[in-house]
Amino acid sequence: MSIRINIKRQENGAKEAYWQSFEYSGELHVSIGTLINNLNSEMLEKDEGERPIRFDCSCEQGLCGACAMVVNEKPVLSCQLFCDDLVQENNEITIHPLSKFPVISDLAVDRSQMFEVMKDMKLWLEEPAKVRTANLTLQYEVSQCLMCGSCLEVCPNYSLGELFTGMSSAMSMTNLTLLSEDKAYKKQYTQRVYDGCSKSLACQEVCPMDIPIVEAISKMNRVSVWGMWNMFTKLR
Amino acid sequence: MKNILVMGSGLAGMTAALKLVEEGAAVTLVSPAYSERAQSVMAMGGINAALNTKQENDSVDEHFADTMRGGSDLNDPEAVANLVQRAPEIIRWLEEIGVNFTRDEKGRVDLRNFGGQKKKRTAYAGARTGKQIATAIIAKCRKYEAAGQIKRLTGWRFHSLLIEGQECAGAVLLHENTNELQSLVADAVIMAVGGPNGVFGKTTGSRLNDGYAAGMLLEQGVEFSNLEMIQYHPTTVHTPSKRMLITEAARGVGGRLYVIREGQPWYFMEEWFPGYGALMPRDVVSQSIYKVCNEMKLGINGSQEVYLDVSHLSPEIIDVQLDEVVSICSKFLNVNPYKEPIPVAPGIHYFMGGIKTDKDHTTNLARLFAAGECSAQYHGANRLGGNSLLGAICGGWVAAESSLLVGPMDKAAAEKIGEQQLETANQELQHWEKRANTSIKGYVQIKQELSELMYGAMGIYRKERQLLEAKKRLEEMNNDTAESWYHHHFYEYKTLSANILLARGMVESALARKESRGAHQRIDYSEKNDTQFKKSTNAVFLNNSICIEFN
Repeated sequence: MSIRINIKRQENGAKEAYWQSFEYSGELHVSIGTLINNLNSEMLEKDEGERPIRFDCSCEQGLCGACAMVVNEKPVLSCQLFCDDLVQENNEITIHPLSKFPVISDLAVDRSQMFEVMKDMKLWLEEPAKVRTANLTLQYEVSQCLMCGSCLEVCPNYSLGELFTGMSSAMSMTNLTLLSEDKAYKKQYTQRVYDGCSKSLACQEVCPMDIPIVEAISKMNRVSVWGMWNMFTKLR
Repeated sequence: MKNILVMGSGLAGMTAALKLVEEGAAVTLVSPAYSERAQSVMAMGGINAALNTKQENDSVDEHFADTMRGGSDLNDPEAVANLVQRAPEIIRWLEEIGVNFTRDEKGRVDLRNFGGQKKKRTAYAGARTGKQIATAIIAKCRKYEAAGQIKRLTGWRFHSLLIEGQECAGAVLLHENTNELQSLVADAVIMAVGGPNGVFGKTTGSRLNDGYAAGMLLEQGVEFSNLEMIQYHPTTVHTPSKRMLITEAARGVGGRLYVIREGQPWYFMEEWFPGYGALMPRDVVSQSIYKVCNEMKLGINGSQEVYLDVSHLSPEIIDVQLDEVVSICSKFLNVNPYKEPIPVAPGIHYFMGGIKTDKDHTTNLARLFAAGECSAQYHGANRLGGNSLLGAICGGWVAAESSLLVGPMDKAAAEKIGEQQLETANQELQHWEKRANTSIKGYVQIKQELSELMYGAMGIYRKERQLLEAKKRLEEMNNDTAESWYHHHFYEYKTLSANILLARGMVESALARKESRGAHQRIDYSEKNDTQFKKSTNAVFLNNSICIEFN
């Protein structure tokens, strides 16, 4: 069986983007990442000077977040999605880079802003961590965040450089809040996540690590209510 | 204030950077991608420390003895003594910075069994210890990045070392996307670039650890030790993209290895090694699987695979401690480990050998240090599970401490070397750019052949004839690379010749060690020979050839 692969390409940020289609008739129980590697091998084998498709890749098993891209309109880790699962209804696969970040080349994007804002928000512990075993499971889950950017891709509220920083930063804030008694993270959360989030919860659907995002943010919201309650009791 | 250049931002690089800024140094932390992408996040099993909380009378001395025995005494005993001594302190530090270790019923860091150690000594964070540790250390680094004390250069690769006289003076860096080059002068350089997976192609590790830096350092006169010591993890599975690891924790919590013999499951490890069973050190388990499949021809359907069975364990244990195993099996193999055994075979997982360092993580070049998988000191001929995260963190600390002791440098001389070398690097780049239209056929074939050649000659069992053929072929390939061209990517182009040189170092080391020890098993020299070879192989590149000595 031959399938058609459409890939949005762009040599670099300064060049125009274009779509390129490939016919693929190789093994189908392969991940999208392996599919792209196979297309590249065929290209290099022909040796007609065509530029291989660039994408970021490190662990190839869903643990590092490097290879996030949009496949058939859904952000995924390319190493975790299999072609045979996709072509059952339609013999066509369409791939484009994450759209909220500047393109570096083809499917590789510049996600540096995700990392930079976490510095601005001072997302680190100032005091030794407090161990509360009741919090451990949620801390573990939110610490799994790969910083892949999938949640930001589907977020109706996120766009690059704006105040709202999205769930990748919120996961770190949740972890740090649970690990400390520091209110600073909560304040950042209110300003840069809570106020801007319209609760579409699209992020929850696409998180490749299945992080319980809803649970995490409701925990953060509860912490804020508790904070206010404590304030009232002190005032009384 | 000292300026230290740290190459690599996995656990070894980040811990080095943290230690350095805490002591007042300025750090430049260089890596091809963010730390979330580093191979360290793939470590699942755990980190060893003799915390002795399981009423088993564990001790630092026993951790030492197990590590040395596991490494067949090629480990640096002074380095290992320091490693095991600091292990409990490292766990406390990780707790303090917020690593979410799994806790026991009393709320203490839980410990479990790992291979080659009879005592429960492996601390873990669910099924993803490396990722959980990385998250905490990344947050800790962020503080110093915000303050400007750690300057991250992300997207940059190591190009070459600046060498002034007999001293390291910094490095030339290459930006992978833009081909921009820059030279950075530093009081010291710490290499923490990970293992050279790229020499073999498909391993269990990260694609980013391509082995370029190691090959380049070898070419520039840095000494390497025990390059022949390559760990085949006994339980890996084949997928179209790579080999994937089934964590040792699967055996740690009671997983069993078997093949079908005369219609019945035969638990060969338990029969051959009562006591440890499937939890013998990794080299022994891999060698046993090899024997079962090749000498006894009992592999699954005549293959190199045997069964790993966890289906008898309680579903809760599998859910909590082996969720990654479940995910790999269902996604890539269509196997349900709650009900069926997993077909596994040994695969390349870790390089015990690397840049030769002593207990202080110094190398043969002044002002150059190395830590983590790219360096050799702690693991000897075979690494114990749970000792790699420990080695990375301890190594980062020690390398940082040692690098702070270097004296003042001749900055003007260093700057001058930097300018000269940058000029040479730019000329090489221009030369590459000019040849853009040459065919790449040779390049693709050589890359493929290198992987096949290395898997063939440097397998679990090695023999003289095959090693000699590989040596000869590698030398020819080295000449062929001059004619083969890759015009799509300058860095990838440069990687090929560096990989071939490092491959030569590995093969020559394997040839010189005419005995069997740890991960190095020779069919033609099947015994361990302590009189001649209870020493490390030392590989240097001199006058266009690899010279091997033992010391």
